[in-house]
Amino acid sequence: MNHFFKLLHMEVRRFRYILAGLMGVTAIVQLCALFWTVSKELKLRETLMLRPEKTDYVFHELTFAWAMSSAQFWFLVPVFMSITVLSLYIFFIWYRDWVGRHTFVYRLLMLPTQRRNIYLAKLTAILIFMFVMLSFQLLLLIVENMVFNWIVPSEQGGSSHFADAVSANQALDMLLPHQFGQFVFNNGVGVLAVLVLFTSILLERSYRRIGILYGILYAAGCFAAVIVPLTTLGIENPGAYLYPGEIIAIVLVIAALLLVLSVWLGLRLLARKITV
Amino acid sequence: MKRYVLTVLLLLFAAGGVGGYYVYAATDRLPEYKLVKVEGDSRIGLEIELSGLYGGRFRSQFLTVSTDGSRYYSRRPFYENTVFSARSWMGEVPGLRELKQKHRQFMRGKGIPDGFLIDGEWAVYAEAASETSNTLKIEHLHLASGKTARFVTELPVQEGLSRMHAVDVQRQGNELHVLTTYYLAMGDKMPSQAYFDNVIDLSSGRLLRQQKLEPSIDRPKNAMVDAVTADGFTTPSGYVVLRVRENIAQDGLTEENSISNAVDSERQTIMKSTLYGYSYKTGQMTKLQVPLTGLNEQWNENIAVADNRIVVVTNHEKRIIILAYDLVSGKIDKELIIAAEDLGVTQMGMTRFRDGKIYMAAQQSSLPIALVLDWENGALLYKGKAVYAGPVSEAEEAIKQLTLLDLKFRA
Repeated sequence: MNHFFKLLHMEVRRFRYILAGLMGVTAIVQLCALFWTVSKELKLRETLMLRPEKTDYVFHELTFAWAMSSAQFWFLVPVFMSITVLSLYIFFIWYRDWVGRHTFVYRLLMLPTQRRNIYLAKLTAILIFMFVMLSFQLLLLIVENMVFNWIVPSEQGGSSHFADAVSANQALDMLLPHQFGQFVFNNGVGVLAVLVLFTSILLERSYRRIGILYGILYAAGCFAAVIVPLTTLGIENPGAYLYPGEIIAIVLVIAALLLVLSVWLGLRLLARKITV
Repeated sequence: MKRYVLTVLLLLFAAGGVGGYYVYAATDRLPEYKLVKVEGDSRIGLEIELSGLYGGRFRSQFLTVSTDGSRYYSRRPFYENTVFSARSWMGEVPGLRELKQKHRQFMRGKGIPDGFLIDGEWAVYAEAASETSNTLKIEHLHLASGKTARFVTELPVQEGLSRMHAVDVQRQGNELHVLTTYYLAMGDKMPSQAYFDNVIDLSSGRLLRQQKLEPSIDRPKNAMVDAVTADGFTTPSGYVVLRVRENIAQDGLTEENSISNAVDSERQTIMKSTLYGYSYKTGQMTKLQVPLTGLNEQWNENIAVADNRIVVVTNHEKRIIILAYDLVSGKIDKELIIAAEDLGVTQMGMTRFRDGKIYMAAQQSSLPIALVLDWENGALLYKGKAVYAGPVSEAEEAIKQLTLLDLKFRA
């Protein structure tokens, strides 16, 4: 346990500057987008009110949920940037140990601990980064709500529910759905994808050139194993032989098997195939 | 431990942030409403629910309100949104729902509601083997014994068949009547549509005869024909009604202009509707002398077939007209006009039929109302209103945000 925690801490420390960078960029882009969107709307209202020919405009109240919906694109940019960086880091978390003049992986693999700790530390680190970014986004939303209330005159502003503000943004609605069950499902799919990619990377590291093919085939096979039943068994097809619940059960069983297979194969490759 | 402070802090931050949000989300409730009886039989209220929107949040929330309370679409549990949302209509159709519960194996792969007949003795399902084949797949289940049989029935070949499907299934003794509609390709032109009554021996699946239903159409180019079948799958009927709708020109317009205007605005369409009754027993088709309004009747006229009668309910904002036509005698045997004020409502909405009753969503000022009437005499069987199930001080504002315009039967 102690070795695992040391390895996890090492992985966290290695990513800390990138993580801080992602947080910084997200905060700057979103706050600027919020400020720009609200200022533009307030200016427009001011212009319309000053027009002599039209003085009977009825403006809706400006709410934070409205701002989140209006600044949709600029809120999406840092979210997708963070997702992209974390996705690329799934590969880099392994390959950075092999690159460089003094190959770090030699030291890592010769540590007097079970190699599965390396695997689990890397997996846990990726999950921590993912949830830290989500928590940071939630914290940032609270700050942005305060900024919104500060810049919008009280006579034009209205209150909105925090959950409405989250669901007003398409990306956040997907990452932080209102239903906890949906959140668990989305993240379960994400964890499965990370595990499959880890195994593909370890296949490549174990078998080198031909390993690239093994890795691609493994990832493609796993993807097909989940997608093919969903698309061919006709979950929405009224004439399909299987009932929707049965199709979902088949897919869940396949996903569970792939999860177990990926972890087992990944640990086995790390323990037996990768040598220094 | 001190050296791990960054990892520990990040772990706590991640768990606290996401965990805190879901604790908040679990407590973020939308207003609760309930359907309560105003007058009539409270048992009828248990069968129905009003559906519409709650507008008090940033995005309108779809909800249904029943005697048990309100259910918001966005707050359905995850498994309901995934497992039970696919093909959910089957669980919502009375008759099919019970059949699926009792005979799960029989119901596999059967997904076209019009292909079902459940008449107390038999459950029958018929569908085209494929859209372009002249073949019907029939499966029946003897409800008492649980015995099933499958047949493939070859129908006479139709040249240029581009699509065929079953629209009604009825039984007359040992004869099964499967009404099919054919779309026949006409070169570059719009496909022509034809209806056939296929009479099939229930024991062997052999085609006994096929009869084409031929209503007279003055302007076949501009006509649409659809079949009005018995309401529900558990209501056997000896008749099917064909509704022929023809575009007719408005003053100063040609037929073509009239059609192109119809594309721009539904309101400018003038339709001439004619109803034809076809008896499965005699094979006779007769033109029905039922006066229809002619304008946009697909929106304000609701036609149902039951017990050898057709009932036409014409909706107006402040009144409904119920007209019952006896298919055997060929005469109108009832005509009722019910005003909104007679029912204590200010606006009348969409109507539905079932089991000799008319179900309607209405409004009393801005208060959503559910009404159930007897279609024999227009008597009010049930009246219910949607009320806020929270503190009285919030009720007025909560009701203002509620718009319920449709009435459905509960699953």
